[in-house]
Amino acid sequence: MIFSECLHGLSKMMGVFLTKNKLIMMTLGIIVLLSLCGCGRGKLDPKNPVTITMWHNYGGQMQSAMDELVEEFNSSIGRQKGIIISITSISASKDIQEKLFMIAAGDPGAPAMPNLVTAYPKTALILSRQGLLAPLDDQFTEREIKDYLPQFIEEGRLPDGKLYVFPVAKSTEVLFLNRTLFDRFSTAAGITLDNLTTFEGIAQTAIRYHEWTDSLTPNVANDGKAFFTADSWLNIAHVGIAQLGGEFMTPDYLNIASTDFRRIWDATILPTLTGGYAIAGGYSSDLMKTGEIVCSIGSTAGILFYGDHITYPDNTTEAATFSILPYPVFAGGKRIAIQRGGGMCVARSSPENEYAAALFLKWLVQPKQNMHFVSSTGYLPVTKAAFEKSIEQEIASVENESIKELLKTVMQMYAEYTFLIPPNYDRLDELSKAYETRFKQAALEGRAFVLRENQEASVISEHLYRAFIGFGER
Amino acid sequence: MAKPVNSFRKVLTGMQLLGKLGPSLQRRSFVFFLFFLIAVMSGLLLILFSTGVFSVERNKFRIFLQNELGHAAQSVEQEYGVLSVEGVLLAERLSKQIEITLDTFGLNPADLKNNSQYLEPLLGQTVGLLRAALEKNKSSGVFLTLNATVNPSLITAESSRAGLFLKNMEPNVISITFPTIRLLKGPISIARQEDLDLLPQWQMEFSVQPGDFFFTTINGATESDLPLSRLYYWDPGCLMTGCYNKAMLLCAPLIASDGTIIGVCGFEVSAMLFKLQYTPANSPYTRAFTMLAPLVDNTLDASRALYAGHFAATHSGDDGFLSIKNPVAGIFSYVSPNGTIYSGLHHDINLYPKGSVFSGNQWALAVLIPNRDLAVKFIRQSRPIQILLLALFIFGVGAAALLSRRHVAPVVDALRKVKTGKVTHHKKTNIREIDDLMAFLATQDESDALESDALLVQAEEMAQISPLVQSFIENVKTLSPAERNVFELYLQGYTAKEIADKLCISINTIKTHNKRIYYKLNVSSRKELLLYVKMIQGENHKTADDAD
Repeated sequence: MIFSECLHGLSKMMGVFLTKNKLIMMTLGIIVLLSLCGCGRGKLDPKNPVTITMWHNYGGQMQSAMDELVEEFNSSIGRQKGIIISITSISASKDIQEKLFMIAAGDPGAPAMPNLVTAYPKTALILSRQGLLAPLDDQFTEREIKDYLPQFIEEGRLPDGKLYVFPVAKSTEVLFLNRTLFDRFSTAAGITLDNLTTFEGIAQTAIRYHEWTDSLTPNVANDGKAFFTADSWLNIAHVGIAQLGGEFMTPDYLNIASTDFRRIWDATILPTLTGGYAIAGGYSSDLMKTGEIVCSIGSTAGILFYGDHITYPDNTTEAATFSILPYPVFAGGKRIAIQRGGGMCVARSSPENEYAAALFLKWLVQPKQNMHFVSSTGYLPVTKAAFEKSIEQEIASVENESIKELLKTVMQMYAEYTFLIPPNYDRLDELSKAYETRFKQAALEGRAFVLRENQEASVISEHLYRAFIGFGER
Repeated sequence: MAKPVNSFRKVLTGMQLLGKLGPSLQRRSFVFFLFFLIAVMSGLLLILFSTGVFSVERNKFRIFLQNELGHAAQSVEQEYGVLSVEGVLLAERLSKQIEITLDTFGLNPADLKNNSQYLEPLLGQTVGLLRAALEKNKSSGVFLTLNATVNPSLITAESSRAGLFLKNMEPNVISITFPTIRLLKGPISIARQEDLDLLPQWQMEFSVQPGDFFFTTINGATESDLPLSRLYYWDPGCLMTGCYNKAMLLCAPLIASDGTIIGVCGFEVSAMLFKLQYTPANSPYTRAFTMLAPLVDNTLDASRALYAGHFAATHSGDDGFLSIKNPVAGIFSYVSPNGTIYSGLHHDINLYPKGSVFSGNQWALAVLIPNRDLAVKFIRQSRPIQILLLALFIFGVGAAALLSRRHVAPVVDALRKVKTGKVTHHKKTNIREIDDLMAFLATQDESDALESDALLVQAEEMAQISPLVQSFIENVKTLSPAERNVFELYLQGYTAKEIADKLCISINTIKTHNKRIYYKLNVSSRKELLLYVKMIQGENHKTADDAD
């Protein structure tokens, strides 16, 4: 009786005389409305936070930049919303790719799929086909998507048109040059930086360098050093043919039978057979660290892997400075370079986890965080705001001189070059691996043959070419 | 300025009046019920405290700590015990392998330092053993550091040692393929030979300095004749030169058959591996973390600890020593130099066997949580009780107000009826005392009414004799019920003060009634009033006597 009197009093105070039935209906209506609001997106609860596991390939010096960002997120927005980002693996991109392939194939002993992982579109394609990835279109509004550079977003869209690979940090390829070693050679041989603007020029320079280094030890035969190597010979072919106006990659085969490819071949295999180019199993930066090469083509993201000194086999070290030059062009070709850098993929899981992962990505690429990462790593920003407005100021504020120089070169390339987005065909990964393997095999076998049989490199190159183009058959 | 002062004076006057009059019956009743409510709630709180309802969360926390710590400590001792044994075995095998290889070169172990040209081929012979050890054990790396350098003529030769450091990039993953192994330290030629990629932080040789893992292990072996199983050393979490990840190292000396200490080998437990293995699982405390740290003089060395969880003391800038305070309710407090307090439990971890050279080095595994997180958690957990108690209190106050009003209402109503002279209109309240009183008052009113009626009758009789009396009689009839009551009491001989007390009204009210009565009866004072009354009464007596 007293409760009803109180209720009555309360309703009178509100100026509305509600009957008991009306109150019940209102309460039920509110409950239904609240539950409907929870549909469509995961609900996060700060009291019961979700843990988002992440794999990434930002190792070495880049690791601390990512660690700082993750810690900042976890202690700010993460705490407010109920999200904890936990990094559970830091590996090279190819190692991550291998694990992801294991997961996609369902191999026994494969690790559990993380909630967030850095991956290339070609890897994402395989994962998405297994239903392992969540499309990100639902997590971003159209307006948010427009904040990013369109070519970066397009690269992350798979053939079904959905966005699976979110651009976190992009890169391109440039020419890294050990200036200390080059200047020594340049003075002696009269070679200048202009010789390094074309692939043909680099090839000739490499042959000269090999001869020059061999001549420094007249008592030792054939101990000339290599001048150049590349992280990806496939990319040289792909970009080179685009520079020459052709198309290298098709859905079913690699176009190695074209005359354009012949030019690629001559500019790459021939110097290898003469010892001017090195063929390495790992990254080109490994050879740079030991002074075994003078320049290489690699990702801008690898800038921190080059270090600031050379270590020789007798453990002596020599301080070295590096120059970062624009991507070379085949003579007469257009200025085209590749757009690289994997993005982040979100694994298909609960709505809460997917939402939380996407929320972290949005925060990560906000200009402030993005530029913090860029200035510590050599990756490129992904938002229009950061790219167009902040980049000049950011370059000035970067402390690492190598990264500063790198960013200047990249900005020059963005003004002068066109960027090629790698296609995403089903067979592309298989064809790419086969090309790299066969190319390196041909180069190594050819070089061994040249040394062993003392044959003319050009003759061997012709034989190898004919054998090689047979591989590109459908 | 005058207005606030006047208002204050009015309030003060009101309070003084209130003080004189005392609080109303309703207010007294409300206060009584309120005290009763407070007593009940105090009793309830006492019961809750004594039955440990508020300490339920603390007990839950302690149980969580005990469980986590128990499992983790057992696991750490077991895992690290296995690594220690494997490290000793690896040292034995490597020592033998190195001796055999040196023998093929025609060298004794003591000759190694002066024949640096053999270091690279020697290291090349050990790769197989190192890879096998790495693949077999759950560690993030395996290393071999020789007590020699490739180039003794360099200025940095004193702090440089040749060796190999192989890293397993995914030690926590079981894979049917070979683990992903990278070269962190060692000759490039071996990397090429073994098809190993270099890590970005690759260096050709180890940088060593007194007090680090290398010299500590070497010195321990040099200064003792103990067997190898008593000579291994666990180096606390540190950053190796050029590395970006903290790691613990299990270090075992390489001792040749002639007693020459060739170098050090062992396993690495990286911060990442520790985190993957020992992060508290399904923890209700989001920032609970596990910490394996050297225990020094009742403090935990946070700067050299490995952490597992989504938080670490170093995230708060606490990279010094955490002082361990005495436990309260079975939970310890750990205080950092900058004042941050963590709550938790710790357990001594035995990493060394009895008689070890390093058995004085103590370690502890702790499961901690920032204290303020715990306080927030306790408050949140007890929130339902807090809300219930608050709701009970609010309800109680409302009920006290309502009940006191209802309790007092019949009494107030009765008093009102008495004041307004409507005693006869009283409806039964079923409250015996009130109903009895009202009945009594009703009879008194009747007798009072008789007395004044009698007076009126007398007066009316006199009116036939005196126009003044006639006028007086007419005027008495114009009195209001309240004025009539006062008039009646004057007739009964009450003074004004007595009337005020009897009718429970203020003396000012009596004065007001008096004024009106005098005005209506056309008298100027009570004396004159009573004179009229006496006149009427006196004349009647005279008439009655005359009649006799």
